[in-house]
Amino acid sequence: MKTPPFLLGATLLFWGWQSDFPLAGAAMGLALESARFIRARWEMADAEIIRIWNFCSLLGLAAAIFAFTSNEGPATFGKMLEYPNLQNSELAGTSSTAAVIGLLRWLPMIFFGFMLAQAYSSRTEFPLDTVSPFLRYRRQRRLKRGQPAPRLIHFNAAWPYFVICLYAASAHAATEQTFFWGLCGLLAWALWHQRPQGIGRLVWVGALGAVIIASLFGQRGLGQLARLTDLADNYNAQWLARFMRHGTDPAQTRTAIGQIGELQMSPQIVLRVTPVNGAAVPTYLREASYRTYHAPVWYAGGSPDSFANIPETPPNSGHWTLQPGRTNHTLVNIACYLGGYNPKDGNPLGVLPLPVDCEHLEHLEAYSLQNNLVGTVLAEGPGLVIFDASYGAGTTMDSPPATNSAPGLSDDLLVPDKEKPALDSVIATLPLAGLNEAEKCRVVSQYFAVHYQYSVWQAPDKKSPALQTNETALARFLLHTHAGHCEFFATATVLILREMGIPARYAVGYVVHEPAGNHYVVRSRDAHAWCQVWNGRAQTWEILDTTPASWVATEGKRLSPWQFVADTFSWLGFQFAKFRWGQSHLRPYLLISLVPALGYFLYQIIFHRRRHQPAATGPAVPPVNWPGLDSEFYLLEQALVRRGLERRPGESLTHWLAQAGGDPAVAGMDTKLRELLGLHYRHRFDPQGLAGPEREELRQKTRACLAELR
Amino acid sequence: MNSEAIPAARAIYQKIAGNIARVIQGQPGPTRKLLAALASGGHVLLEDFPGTGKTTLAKALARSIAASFKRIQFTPDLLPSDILGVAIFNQRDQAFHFHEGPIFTNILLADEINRASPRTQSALLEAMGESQVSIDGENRPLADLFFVIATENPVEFRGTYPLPEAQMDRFAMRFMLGYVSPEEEVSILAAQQTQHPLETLKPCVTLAEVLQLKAAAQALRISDELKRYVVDLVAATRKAPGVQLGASPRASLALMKAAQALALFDGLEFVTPEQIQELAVPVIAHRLVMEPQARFAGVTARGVVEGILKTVRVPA
Repeated sequence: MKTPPFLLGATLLFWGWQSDFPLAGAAMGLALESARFIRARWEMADAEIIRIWNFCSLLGLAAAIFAFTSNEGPATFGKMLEYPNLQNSELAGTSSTAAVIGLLRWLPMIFFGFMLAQAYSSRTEFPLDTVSPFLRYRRQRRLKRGQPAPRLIHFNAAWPYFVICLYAASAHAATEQTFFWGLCGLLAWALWHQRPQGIGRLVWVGALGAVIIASLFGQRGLGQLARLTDLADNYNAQWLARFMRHGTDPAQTRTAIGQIGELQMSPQIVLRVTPVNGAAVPTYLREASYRTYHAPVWYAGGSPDSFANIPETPPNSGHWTLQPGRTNHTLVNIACYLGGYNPKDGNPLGVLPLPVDCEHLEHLEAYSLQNNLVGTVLAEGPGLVIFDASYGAGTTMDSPPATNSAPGLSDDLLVPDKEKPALDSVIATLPLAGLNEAEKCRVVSQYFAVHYQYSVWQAPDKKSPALQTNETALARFLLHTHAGHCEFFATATVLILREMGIPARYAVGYVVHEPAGNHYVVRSRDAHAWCQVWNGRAQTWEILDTTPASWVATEGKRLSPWQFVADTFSWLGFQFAKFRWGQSHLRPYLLISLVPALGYFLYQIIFHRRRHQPAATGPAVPPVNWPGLDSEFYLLEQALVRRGLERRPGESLTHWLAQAGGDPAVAGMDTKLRELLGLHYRHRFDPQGLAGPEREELRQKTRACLAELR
Repeated sequence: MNSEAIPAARAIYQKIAGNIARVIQGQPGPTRKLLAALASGGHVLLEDFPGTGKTTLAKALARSIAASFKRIQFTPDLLPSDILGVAIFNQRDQAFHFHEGPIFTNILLADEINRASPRTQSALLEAMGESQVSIDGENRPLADLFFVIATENPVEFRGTYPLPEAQMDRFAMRFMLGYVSPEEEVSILAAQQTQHPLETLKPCVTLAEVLQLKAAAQALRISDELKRYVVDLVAATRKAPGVQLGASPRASLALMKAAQALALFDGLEFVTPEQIQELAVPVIAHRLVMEPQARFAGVTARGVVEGILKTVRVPA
């Protein structure tokens, strides 16, 4: 059953139009339809068709891998396996759908080679065995058992290809209306040629029209339904404030101030920092800054949607400028995980740990980047990001200190009233008279260094006045215990400075200090808090870390001697995460590794090289010039072999011809071929051989059969 | 061989085959092989389950030919003299007189041959190989037509003595009958409802006609190339993996002769590769001695020969 003239060409044009491949569609359509005017044809054996089909299948596999990895398939599936919740299942489903849709669009291109082979082949139909390894296996198994082979089923690839093209066009409909009417037109064209003979044309057109109208209404209804669900999906107010997080929250941070007991911190590696070009790495990597203290929580202040987009310039370059106009060239490579998820689209979301004076980011494969007025940079992208941060002394990303007069901003000088008595009593002991702001900062720093100790242990002191009065935990730290962890020091410093009139902010992030080979690792316990103080003269924020430096040594002592085992697993996990989130180069390697296989198949198809047949294991037949080897029957055998009817070494001619009888090329020639085989056998195996006229008969009959085959 | 001899010989074959088909239904293949063995001068070992018609087939053949037929039921206490015959001293004339055993016949049915002791089985050796027996130092030739049909049961091993390799080699063919289809089994029931068709079976050919058939088969043409093909097939069994002892040149000879008979049955004046391929398994497989490891691994002699048929290039 042939397709109507030019139907396939039109369908390919339609697919090209709908799928944004207009040139490809036009070229493919032209190539296929040209077969109607070009008379040259390929003689194709089954082996060649199988090779072409294998090539197309391999191409399809490569396209599937490309589509799957392009849509973060491994990442979403890895996540789903790791945390099998509803959200991750949905994410995996979405990425699979995106991959399938991408693949669907390419289907006509993937199978075009096979369709072209049929169009230019001398055979109008191909055996179904050529595309089905299962059928081939079944046939071989039956032959092996000596059972009759199943009848060969032939098919015309044009119709399945027509359906594939329409299906591919539907995967990316440019507009609903054009696709719908185009589909109707092409289907009507195809069906017109197959319409039942007993039905009048008007009745047929009427019935088709009714079907089209019914489907039009059906499609409209589905469209309305889809619009309703879209509306529900897009209703998502203040998404930024609600995203689920595992890491730092840019809006607020809850300190451990006031908690009793030992502060437990994990030795898990959370960051990997690598110096670029031998430059030193920054000691402090800040994640977020906060302005308002309401024990025990620091708030960033401002509204949750105060984040502003940072443009990627140029687009898709991985280059993001945080502070325009600066030209720092010291680079550091940072690898960090984006721990949270954007509930709107399910993408990983997290705060980037950056040097406070970071100028721009390079090679950052994020979907979007946003920052707020206190220098927190929020990235949405793959779960693991690896990028270079350019930094150097100078201005920071933070906004200058604000006063109450600025709308929507908190004051960088605000001190909670209930903390003031303790702060004032400390300030009263400091020799501050006549000092400028920088000197005051130094005095404060020295004061903490001399009178306070680092401790992760907060003892419950029943005799403390704190239990009897309303004294805050911070006041207890400042006036009685004189020992605490970094959050105490940072909070106290910020509030003391503010109380003295110096703008200050509370910053959290990590301290980089632990080398590991050619890079540094930063553990969860390296999380730190410090004070950022405003330098009015330099018009910049500076780091004032009053926590005694002994905290690093104290934390180091708590490291287990078996930590290297956990670190090894962490490294393996990091390598896997690199692959999982597309940060390694494995995907291109995977695709490149398919190129030789594709090339091999292409070579096989073009140069008609057959795969090496296993040599017969029987004794080698010496090159004896047996009688009858000049028989013309061998020409016929060769012609049939070219049509894919190959004969195995141990298969007799009678058996082979019986098997070949199922092929349409030799259908109806059974009797002639049997007669011819009888003559050939007499010529070959009868010691008396053929007489002159019979020999001539063999020649003539073979020629006639050859002509009939052509 | 003149051109009329072949159709005449073929007609004899068809007569016998048709006669046997009246008794043994649905078994044209085994009948064809049995007659090929008869026409090529070989002997046949029928190996199959009880009740599949081995004895009936042998009897049907014997009755179809106007020739003498003897049956020996092999048992463990059977003695060689019970087969060959014995010389008994006659007191009246003070001399030994030889009493011929059942082997002096045209068609001999050795039923359940593997139940007799190896000594008794060996008594058949000379008879089958050379068509003569030596008793008391005297050679006694057997009839011109001497055809042994032996049967054995492959599933029962208690109280049996597997045939020695040398004796297996004496059989030109070994094959199975196999079960018939349900429809054919129903028609067997219908045919034997009142009496066994064997009882009414009459000879359809004479002994001379059978000898004529044998002569015609022997004279059928076979090309050197196909002789080489036969030798290649048999030689391949000697190198096949899993085979301890391959087939002997006697196998090549038997295969060639049987193929000649089969070609005659097909109405051909010469042998084609198809006849050789058709008979390769029944002629060669039973002569192979498989290695124990291969046997335990499930490799069968039949499988080995089938594999060789596929790999050795067939003349075309």
